[in-house]
Amino acid sequence: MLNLSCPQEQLHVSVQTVSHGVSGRSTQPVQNNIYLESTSSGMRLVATDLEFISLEANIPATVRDQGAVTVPARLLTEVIGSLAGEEISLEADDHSTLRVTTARSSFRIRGMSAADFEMLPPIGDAARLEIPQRDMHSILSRTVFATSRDETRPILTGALFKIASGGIDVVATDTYRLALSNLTVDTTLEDGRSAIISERALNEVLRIIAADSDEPVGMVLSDSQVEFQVGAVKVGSRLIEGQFPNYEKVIPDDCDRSVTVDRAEFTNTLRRMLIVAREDSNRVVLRGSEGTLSITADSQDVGHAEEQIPAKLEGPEPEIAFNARYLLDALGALSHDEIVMQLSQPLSPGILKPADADDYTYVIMPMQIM
Amino acid sequence: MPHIRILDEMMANRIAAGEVVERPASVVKELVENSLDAGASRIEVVLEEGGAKLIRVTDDGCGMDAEDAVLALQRFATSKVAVPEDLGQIATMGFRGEAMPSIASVSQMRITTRRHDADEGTMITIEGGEFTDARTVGCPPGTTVEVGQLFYNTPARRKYLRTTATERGHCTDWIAWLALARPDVAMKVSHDGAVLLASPGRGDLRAVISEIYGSNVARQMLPVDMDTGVLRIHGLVSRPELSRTTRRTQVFIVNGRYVRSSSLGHAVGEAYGILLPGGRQPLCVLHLEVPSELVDPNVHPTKIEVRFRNQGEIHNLMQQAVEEALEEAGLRPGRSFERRPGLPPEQAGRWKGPGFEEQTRARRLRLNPFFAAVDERDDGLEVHAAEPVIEAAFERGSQPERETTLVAEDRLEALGQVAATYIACRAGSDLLLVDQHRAAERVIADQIAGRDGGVQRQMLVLPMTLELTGAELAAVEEHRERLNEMGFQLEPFGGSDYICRSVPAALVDGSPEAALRSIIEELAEWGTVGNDEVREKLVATIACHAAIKSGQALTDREVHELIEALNASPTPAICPHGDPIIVTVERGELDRRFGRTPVTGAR
Ligand SMILES: Nc1ncnc2c1ncn2[C@@H]1O[C@H](COP(=O)(O)OP(=O)(O)OP(=O)(O)O)[C@@H](O)[C@H]1O
Ligand SMILES: [Mg+2]
Repeated sequence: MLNLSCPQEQLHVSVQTVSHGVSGRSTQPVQNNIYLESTSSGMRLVATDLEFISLEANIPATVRDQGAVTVPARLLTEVIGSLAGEEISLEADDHSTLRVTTARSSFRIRGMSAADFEMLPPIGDAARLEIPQRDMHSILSRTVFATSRDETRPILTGALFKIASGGIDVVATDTYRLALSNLTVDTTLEDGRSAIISERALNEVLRIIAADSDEPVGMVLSDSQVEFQVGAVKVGSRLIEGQFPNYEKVIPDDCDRSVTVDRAEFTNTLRRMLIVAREDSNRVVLRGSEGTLSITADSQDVGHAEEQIPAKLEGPEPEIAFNARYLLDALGALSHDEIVMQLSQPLSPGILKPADADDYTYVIMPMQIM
Repeated sequence: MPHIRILDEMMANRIAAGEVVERPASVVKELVENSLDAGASRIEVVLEEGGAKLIRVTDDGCGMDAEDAVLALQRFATSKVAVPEDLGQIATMGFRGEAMPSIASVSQMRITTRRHDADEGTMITIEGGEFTDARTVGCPPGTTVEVGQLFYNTPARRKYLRTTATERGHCTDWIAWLALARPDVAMKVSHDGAVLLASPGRGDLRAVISEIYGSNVARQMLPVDMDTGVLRIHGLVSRPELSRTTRRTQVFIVNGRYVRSSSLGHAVGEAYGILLPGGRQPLCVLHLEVPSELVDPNVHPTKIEVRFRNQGEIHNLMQQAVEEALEEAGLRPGRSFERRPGLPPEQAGRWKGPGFEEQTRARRLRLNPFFAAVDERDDGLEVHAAEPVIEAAFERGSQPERETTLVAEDRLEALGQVAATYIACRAGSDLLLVDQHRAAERVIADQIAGRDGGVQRQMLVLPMTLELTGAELAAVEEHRERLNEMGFQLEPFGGSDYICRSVPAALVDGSPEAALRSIIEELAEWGTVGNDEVREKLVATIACHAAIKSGQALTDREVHELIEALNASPTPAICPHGDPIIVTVERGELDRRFGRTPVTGAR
């Protein structure tokens, strides 16, 4: 029978982190619970939808007896959250009821038997690599937003990891734009590997890693599963099966004109244009001429908006329409001062990338009025 | 059977060209059809590895002599059509003289055949279209054609074959259709040694259905038989208790040939009317016997699609035949008007009453709560009393909706979301409930339809690939321009595939591919429809896919925006599909329910 005690603060953080693994939509009620286990070394917390997300945390605890129980995630989070700064003792009984006690308070949470709780199978024969959190953060934050929300095309709801000995490519596309981020790193992997990883798991990783930390993220990859290890937390997921589209073919190589602009200025302008554009599918028109880029938005019901920003233009003068939201997604993921757009015909794909770096390519498809 | 002649060039060109052999199932179909044309009464099909390794078809038909067997393998050699005029009156399954040489060119084939009046038979071996052996052999009368290692010399197409189970499934589908088409011929199929299907060949359609769909299904089928003197429709349809969600188990056989026809499927569905809940389709196996000059089977290279010279007439007769069968079984009230006379031969091709298109329209009008308004515009259009049942249902069910159209003149003021599906509103002193999905459909449809200068479209990084069925292909070809106007830029991509390069911008946050697929399916089901109707339909389907769903929780702000937009709509009460958006509970109704006598002057 589970019986242990641990400091509230650490327990609270872990319960909050792990509760993201509960989908709330599972047909098995027990899967909507958090699994708690006292082990010889401490406490283990798990929540999973058995498919695209599994979250596990291990924290030190004073264990009096070993055992496991499952309890509703929301309730547990609220109860633990309400008991600020105290030592908490957790004790389960035969009826899967969890007693949560501190010096002053006592709660009884009705749970369900841990015997019925299922988890992802242990990750099998696997390749392992380590990447600094800051690098992982950078490649994920620039790509994961471009995954598709359309569940009728499951492959595109994940990002492709293409891992070779010299580096990692991460690619995501929802068919309207495609984000490709490259990290040069010695992966010590001899044969290349690719895996399509669910947006759910990747966003969870993004949430728990720090953009400025040199601490490592472990990535363990088998043929059917992936597991990210960040400190005492593990984020697991089944891989999405199938063939990711050939992204190299999609990147245009015939752009004959380019526009270089200040990222912050372009971002602010687009946000203003969006006030009008959002009434009409977020469409903005970009026109370049004589050292300026003009950005306009028109909406039949609302009106018209227009703004000019300084730009370095090369090649013929560009004119093209984009979904402003797609531009803003990429601009928001970058931190460079200047970005460059490489364009060609009004109906051909454009590229957006940092002006002074080659590790990111964002292909964006134009809009057209029929 | 007459001897084989070679069609001349001109003649050959008149015949729809196209790929005959797509997969093992196409071979099975062609070979069994040849056996049927040869007058066989028993046909046995043996398959190995989904037909990819071996297809063997044995029949007890007329057989061929040595000379004819060689000739059968030449392109455009056929014993079945002689002069150009004959093409109008195709009564055999085969007529192109194309199947045998096409199959022979991509397989290792062996033909063993003997005419009933001959003492000995002939065996011919061909590999990849090259004769490798011909000899005299002893064999039973009839013909055995063995096709081994299909596509062995075209690796690209061999690779394209799907799993054994899939290919086997396609083969059995075809044999089932052929067996249903010809209950008088005993057909037996085995795959890797296991018998999959064996029809008794007694001419009893129910017995064939029992063999294919099970005795349970066979028991629940009602007989259809209508004979107009010119045209006969007979077969079996399911009792309403037995239905499916797709039309796959609707089999139509025209003059002994299995066909696909969305128009016929539509006619059968119409006959059931409200006997079936929405989205359910009856099962049926229906034979049509029509003078062959009214049918043009030479439309599609694989001959699945038929076109009738007078589609509308056939649609109505089919509907009538099924309605009568349902009436006979006491499932539908009898009709008050006279049975429509059959089409006299000299009037074949001319139509007197409302056609398919008009009838669909008439039905739509009747279901449209704005009936009175639209009716005037359609002056002169006679509304047939074809669906008394539906009409009655409408009268009963639609009363509140009609009132709604009046009340909706008032501006709605949103109060809040109910059950994540409806929005409670106030208008004047009445309570109104708005269906959130339908309201959103209305708003988006207004936006799409009302936008000057056309629809916004978003180009795609990766074009979608669409594999289309025959009917879908025809629908896409016919309506490509309309689809393009609506934002779906479609281009042919070889064979029956299309690619789509852009989608309506309204759909980017939804599932544009799913939307396009359902649009194409609908277009294919609808058959021939006018351009304006297609446009309306496209707007409605796009709006439906782009709209917020039922069951979706909304923020207060979203609720208010939606209701404001609905207030701005010229037709806030009716969604683009013609369903009501608003249900009104009047102040008086509230008072009655609470047992409160209305205070004079309260309204
Ligand atoms: N099983 C068979 N028994 C007798 N004759 C056959 C048989 N199979 C083929 N033949 C002869 O070979 C000829 C060529 O057959 P093939 O299938 O190529 O052409 P078809 O049936 O005339 O036209 P289609 O290409 O439309 O099927 C037929 O016209 C027929 O005379
Ligand atoms: Mg034939």
